[in-house]
Amino acid sequence: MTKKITFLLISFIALLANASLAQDNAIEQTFHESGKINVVVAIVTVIFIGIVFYMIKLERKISKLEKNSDK
Amino acid sequence: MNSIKKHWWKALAVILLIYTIAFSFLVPLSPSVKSASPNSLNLGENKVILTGYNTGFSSDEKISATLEYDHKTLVCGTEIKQINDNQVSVNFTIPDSLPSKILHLRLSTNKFSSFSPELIKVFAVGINRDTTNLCEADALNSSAHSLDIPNRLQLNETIRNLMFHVPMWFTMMVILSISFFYSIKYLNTFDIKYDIIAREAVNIGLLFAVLGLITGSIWAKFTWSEHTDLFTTKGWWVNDVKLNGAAITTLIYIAYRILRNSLQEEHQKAKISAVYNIFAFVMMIVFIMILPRITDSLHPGNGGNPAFGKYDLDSTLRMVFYPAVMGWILLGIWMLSLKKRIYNLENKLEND
Repeated sequence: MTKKITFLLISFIALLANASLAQDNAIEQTFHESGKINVVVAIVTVIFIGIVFYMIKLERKISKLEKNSDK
Repeated sequence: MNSIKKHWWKALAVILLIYTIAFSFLVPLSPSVKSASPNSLNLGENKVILTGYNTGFSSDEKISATLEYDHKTLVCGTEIKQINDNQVSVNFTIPDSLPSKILHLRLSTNKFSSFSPELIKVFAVGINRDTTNLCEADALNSSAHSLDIPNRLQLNETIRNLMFHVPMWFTMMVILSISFFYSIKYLNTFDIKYDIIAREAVNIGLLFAVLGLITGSIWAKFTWSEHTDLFTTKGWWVNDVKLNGAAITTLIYIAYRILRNSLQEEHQKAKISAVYNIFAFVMMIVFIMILPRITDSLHPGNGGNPAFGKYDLDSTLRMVFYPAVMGWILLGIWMLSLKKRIYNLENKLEND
């Protein structure tokens, strides 16, 4: 699990560094409209997903504990 | 009563974060001029269309547009006509000589007064160094200042990210400082429970670091990368000292996790990773606090100036930025305390 997450993190950073991936497309256009408010929405969503990710990890640990305590 | 004493700071975290989110989504941006077209004028009459944001022009409103240089009003706009809520057209008559070929454009109404972010260039005009007021604009009383968020050049609404992206890094630094503290404590006492706190703090710190990297990348893509005359890249990553420093910090702490996983014996693992953690913390301070201040960085408050400079934050933003930072830090500590309690339980179960 940890190895998988670490791998994902590293590959994400590698992806970020690759600026050539960027192209102006329809989705990116919407971010420039109405004072770029969608950028704020995207960022709040990313943080929310991060917190949910943490909750899922926490839940897994708690279920493991529950299983162990039943023995 | 007891539970209030124990949990009040969690309630405080929630209240601060609700305040942050409500404030940052409900308070409007201040009205301002965004562009003037054309922005280069010739001698004689020029018709210029001014586009604003949140301006809400109305036909019965008094609007004045002036060209200024060195706090002197040089040309007053005439025939100001409202086109729609955010656009007006103005006529400027450029005289034969002016003190400068580059002028500031100011638009004032009863509600606000703002300079255009772009400078106005004037062609084929003689230079006359006498700077006196060449015309007198109608005096407009700007009404009482209402609560609004400043509208800066290419930031626009994304200035609201200040309350989300920046606190991620503050939280990461606080959580990693906790980790640093417990690593030292472990090396003093060799009590394995301190090592577990240090490890969990690094995990939470990494979560905030990754969130900070992703949110920063999205923000930079739609603001910094846009001005292609300043930066050659249009991508998701701008080559800035602070960005690279933050990325290296993240990699250093990922290496901490890899190091931990590669060692078997419990105390050996704890000792080596505690020592590594102390070096990693010092490297983090160097990469995000020191290096960006030595060279130039796109982040405000870097390149020699201390953060929280008086030009970076105005009083409205301070009203929400400091509570936001506090709220996110408390949330991070809350997350850490949950993880710590789970490991305490795990230990108890193993020992039974």
